[in-house]
Amino acid sequence: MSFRFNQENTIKIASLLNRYPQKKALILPLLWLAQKQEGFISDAAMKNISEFLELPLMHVYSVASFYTMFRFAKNEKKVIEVCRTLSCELNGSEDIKKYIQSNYSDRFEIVEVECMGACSGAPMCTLEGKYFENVTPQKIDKVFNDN
Amino acid sequence: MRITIDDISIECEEGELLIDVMLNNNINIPHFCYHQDLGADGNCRMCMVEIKGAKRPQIACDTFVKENLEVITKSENINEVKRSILELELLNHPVDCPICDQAGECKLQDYYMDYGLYESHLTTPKTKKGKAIELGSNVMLDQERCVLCTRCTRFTSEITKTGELGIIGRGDSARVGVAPGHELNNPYAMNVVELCPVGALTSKDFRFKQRVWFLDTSKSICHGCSRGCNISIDYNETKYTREKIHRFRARRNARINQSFLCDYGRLSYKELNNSFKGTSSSIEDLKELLKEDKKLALASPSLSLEQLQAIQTLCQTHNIKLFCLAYYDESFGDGWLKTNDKSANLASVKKLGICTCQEEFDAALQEAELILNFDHTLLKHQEFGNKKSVQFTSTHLPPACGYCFGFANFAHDTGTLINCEGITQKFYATRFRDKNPSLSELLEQLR
Repeated sequence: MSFRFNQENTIKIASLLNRYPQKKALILPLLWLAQKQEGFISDAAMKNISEFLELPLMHVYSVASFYTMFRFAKNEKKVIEVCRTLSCELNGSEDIKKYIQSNYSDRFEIVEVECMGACSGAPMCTLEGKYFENVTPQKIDKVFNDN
Repeated sequence: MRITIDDISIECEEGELLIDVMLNNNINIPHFCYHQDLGADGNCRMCMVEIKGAKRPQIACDTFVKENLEVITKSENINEVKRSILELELLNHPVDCPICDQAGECKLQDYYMDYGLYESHLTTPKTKKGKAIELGSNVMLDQERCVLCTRCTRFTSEITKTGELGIIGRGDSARVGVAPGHELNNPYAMNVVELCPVGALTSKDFRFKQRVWFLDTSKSICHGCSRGCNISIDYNETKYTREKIHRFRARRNARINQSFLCDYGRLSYKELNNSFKGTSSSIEDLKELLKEDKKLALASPSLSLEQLQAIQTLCQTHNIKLFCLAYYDESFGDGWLKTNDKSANLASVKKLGICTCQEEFDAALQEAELILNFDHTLLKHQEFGNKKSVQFTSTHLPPACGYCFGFANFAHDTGTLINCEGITQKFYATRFRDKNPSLSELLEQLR
């Protein structure tokens, strides 16, 4: 299986190249683009990135595995991320998490994550990367049942 | 410049690392991640010392010496710091020393006995990681025993530049590993076993063979090529078995091999266990033989200077044409430790003025009626037809029609080698005598 960045991402990479003094600084943006393109980071994508950046494959794998938000396998289900950091916790994320887990765990993959920078809308969660703020059980039912 | 370590005044040079000064002066300083040939990384924090004037303990591997620096390595305070660090290093360690091959030469064990001696505070289960993973090139990995000093990953990324090893994950799931579908594969890979301060990386070739506290060590030189890497030979003799050599380890020499050894050299110890087991021919017969005309001798270029001298003297007294042909292999050298010249002592051969010319040798071989071969692989297994031949061998040979004399190999002999850079080095015999005499003793009887 081989991996190539698509047209759109190749253009993005070309413009990102000018931004950093060293090519290896692109490692995180490239991993992000690869994950966006395929939904996960495949071995072939890491190989492509390591060749492009002239870094050992293990280096790329090391960096990718350090961050929990990079995934190495294709998702069977859609992913719900529930914030568990302070602001959301104080605003009842614990109950939201329990509610989602008891009602939606068969249809979605539920992941607890740290702060996603939307504290003004606590408690919050995401579905497929899309933010939902000030969530309540009613709001959850409405949004998740539409998907 | 002078500094004081534990009330002892020590001479050192500007710009040196404190830990180097300590190691060079045999001052005990616990450390995992620092290695004199890999440099500092500063991740293990075990080399904490108190420095007079500094607010809090400093790591010795990141402190440069200054005039009149006063260092304390032993105090209630600093031992407490080391104890806490060690407890964190050992938090998820399986403590399986009885079945661990590193036991006896493990830094975790040593430091626990020196600074630890605590009861574990852990109430939750230990983190489980991969065990008995084959990394390739004879290296086995146990991720649970690892202290994440990154010596092995720094070796592959900075020394061999192959970059196979890295740290996967983070926090308590961080572990050493190779990229999916790849393996550790370079001609120096087994060095990581020796670099590993704990039992995480062990050698498939050595593990479960011997407990290290039953091993004796002798200082020697690798005979694999002309580089002359310094090695320690680990051997022992048990109640029911003759002496056996179990492994080679690199012995540090900053001028030649630093602390490294190629896998070819490291595994070449096996030949040393294959010494001549047959019965040597009678020395009186040999004396008779030496009265022949047209004699030729071929000496191995891996013999020691002393052995070559003895052969040369013999050849001069008995009017024998002496040759020595180099073991040359174009595909062996790599610009670092390995050299194309696989003879250990060609420099000595040239120093003694022994003929190394292939054409002259070929011509002399045609004419010769008696051939004496001193351990050279070229003639070892050759049939000579109606010519008489005498084999002097350090390895086992099947019974042949010619005359054969076994002599002790370099593990059981003491001698001198000159390496490809002209550095003269001595190697020393193990404690146990070989069944066969040394070559010099053997030739002495011919006088």
